[in-house]
Amino acid sequence: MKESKINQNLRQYAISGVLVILVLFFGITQKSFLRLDNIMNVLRQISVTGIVAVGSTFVLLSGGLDLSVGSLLAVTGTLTASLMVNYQVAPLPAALIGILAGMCLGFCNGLLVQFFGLPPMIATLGMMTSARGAAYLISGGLPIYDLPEPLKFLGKGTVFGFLPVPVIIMLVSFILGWIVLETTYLGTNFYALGGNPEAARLAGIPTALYRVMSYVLSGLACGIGGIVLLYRVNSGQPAAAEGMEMQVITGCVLGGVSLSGGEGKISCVLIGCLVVGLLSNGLTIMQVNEYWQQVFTGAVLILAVCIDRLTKMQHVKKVKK
Amino acid sequence: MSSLLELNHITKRYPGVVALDDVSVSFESGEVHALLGENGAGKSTLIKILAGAISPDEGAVYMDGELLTNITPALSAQKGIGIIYQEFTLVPTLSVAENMFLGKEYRNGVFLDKKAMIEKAREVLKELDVEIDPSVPVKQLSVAYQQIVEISKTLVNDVRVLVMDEPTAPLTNAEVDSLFELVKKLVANGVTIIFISHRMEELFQIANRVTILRDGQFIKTLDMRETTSGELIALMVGRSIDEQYPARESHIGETVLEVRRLCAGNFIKDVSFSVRSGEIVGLSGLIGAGRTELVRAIYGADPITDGEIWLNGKKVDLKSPAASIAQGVALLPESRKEQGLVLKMSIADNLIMSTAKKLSHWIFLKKAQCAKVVSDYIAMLRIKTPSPTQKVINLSGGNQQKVVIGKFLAAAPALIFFDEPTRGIDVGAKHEIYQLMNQLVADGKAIIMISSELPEILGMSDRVLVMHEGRLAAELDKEEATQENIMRFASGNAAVS
Repeated sequence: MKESKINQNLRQYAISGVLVILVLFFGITQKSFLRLDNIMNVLRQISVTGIVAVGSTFVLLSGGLDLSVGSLLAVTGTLTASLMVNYQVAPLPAALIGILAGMCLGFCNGLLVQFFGLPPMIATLGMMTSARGAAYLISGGLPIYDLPEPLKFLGKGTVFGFLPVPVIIMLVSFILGWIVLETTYLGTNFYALGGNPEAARLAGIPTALYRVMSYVLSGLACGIGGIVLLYRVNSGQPAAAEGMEMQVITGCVLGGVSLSGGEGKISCVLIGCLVVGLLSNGLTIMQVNEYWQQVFTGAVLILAVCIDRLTKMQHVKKVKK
Repeated sequence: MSSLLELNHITKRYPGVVALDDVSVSFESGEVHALLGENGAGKSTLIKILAGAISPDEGAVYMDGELLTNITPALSAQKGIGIIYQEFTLVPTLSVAENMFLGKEYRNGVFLDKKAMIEKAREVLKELDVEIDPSVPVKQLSVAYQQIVEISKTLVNDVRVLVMDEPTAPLTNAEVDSLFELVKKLVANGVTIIFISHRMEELFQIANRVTILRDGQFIKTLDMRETTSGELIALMVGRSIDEQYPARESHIGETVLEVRRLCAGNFIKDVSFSVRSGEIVGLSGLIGAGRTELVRAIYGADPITDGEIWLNGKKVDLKSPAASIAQGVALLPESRKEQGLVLKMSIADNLIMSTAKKLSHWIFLKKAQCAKVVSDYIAMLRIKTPSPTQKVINLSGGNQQKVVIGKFLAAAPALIFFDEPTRGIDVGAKHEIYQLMNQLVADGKAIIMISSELPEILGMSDRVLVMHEGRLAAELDKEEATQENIMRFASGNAAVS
């Protein structure tokens, strides 16, 4: 019994080990890697992915999947930009409307999955394509420039002179996600839904509500991420965040979130996202070309999941008798 | 009879537990040899060794006097050892013949020889005297027929030892009878059957000899003709259980639940009955009679199409399980792994699943209170575990069932549906669950118990409801309820007597 517990912890914290190894490796071989500005740079680069990953963690834990995150980000960004630039809406209401749009599209995902019984992959794949189209329609196919000043700190600002605002928003998102999942009954119910929907329903958990809610939370995270991205690139790009769903899923899976639902820790998702960011940053510093970077990132994902599988298999062998 | 298969001094250790401890058994050709023991006694380990799924740490396996080393699944099959697991290993979308030849297809060059396979499948099925079309997809067959396919699958090879792990658990009485016919046929052909079942009566019907295991140790091999179920139970649990069904003095009170002319799905028609506090009502009937469907509909897990449900004299609308739990109704579902538990979660998280909201301040869980509820139920139900953070997947069947029960009791229900509460769990845990049910009704709760085991229905119920094809066929009081009476109504032969 003791052994299996250690084994469980090992699995959970394997990703932390990978993180430590990466930091040591790049830290020792590359002088500039551990400099504060470089670390902040990495954090800033993963901030949007991280924010979105918080929402996706809820969806994955509930046994779902959200492929539409990148498109939702683009809709939020272009809609907010268009409202401000073309319709002279004040920045704050425009941003809130953008976030609300993200939530509404998330809600549609939830409805399609829950009430029309579509497989999550199909529902959100459809949404991914349609929402991307919507983003192009909103922006007229071209990036929207000349954003008004007031909210620019969301993308470019720093606190205490070194901590970028996007990083703070990401960390707050993770902390809020952690609070909900670890300390509230809502969290318990999300895990139960993903672990065994029928058992959860018979136990009196309103599973339909939670399933829809997970997609709405993902939409909310995309909305927030969309606003941050809008100000980081300083323009409403209809092609923004294309392919982001794969980065997000990579971060979550590296963090040990099971694609079949019910398993995983949000704290490890943050570490998973960090690993992806550090890897890309370190390889860039080492002047490894971008194509090789892609090869490495994919290999790390596969390797991490293989290790997870192997330890799990051993675990099962030991417990079953 | 001669010894066909011999296990000599087999030991298998897992970290922290000795699953098999110096066990020696010999199986003779043409016998039905039962393996008996509580969950965790080592039966499954023994089977897995025969199947080549795991290898023993010590000891040897002999077949026809020949030492078998490094048994792999392939070698095991080649030597003629066939295994029917509790969970079927069929591919539902493939046809009967395709399933039978899975992994050992007949071929013409690179092409499948479908004709020959269907021909051979038909032959095997004919030998078993069953009418199954080999070209039909397996998912269209009933559970009983699927099991026959599972057996036929092993017969495609020349099977000499057939291990059957709880083969009767999913079957109705009539289906059990035809399974036993089939077993007798195989035995007549010289096949050795190793038979595992928790249903004592069946062993006396079918087995020649029985070997009892307890806590990984060999206890005894007995001739079935020279033993009694009392002796077997005593050997299994290592103590004597005086009465299988603990006595209870019923104190029956007010009506708790009244169901009026309930219809649900296409199947449940016009069912009316009531249950009073302090009462255990047995719900009997053949498998497929609609018992589970009825309680699920009352519980709000499936929609009702017509009829009324009254709780404590008030008409209620139980639209969902959540609404039922709020009204003090609980359901222990029939299949604990699929419907009762989240196997990946801890005992603690499972126990508070129904009550997490109640144990919260606004949305935040009150950790101390949760921990107290969890430790209370672990103690009360005597759930054997080193820690509440243990995942339920690691528990034995009996302990898993206790976790499901604890989860629903935590919601403090006044009316509880138990759907097959003791299926697939060992005698000791069964007894504890019976005592718990008695305790619950003594505290004034009302219980409706579905069970496919007639002795359990008779032993536990104050009243028995019998269902037949979606309708209530009879309501029998304690005196009227006999095995014969129940079976008569359950099989729809009420008019004939």
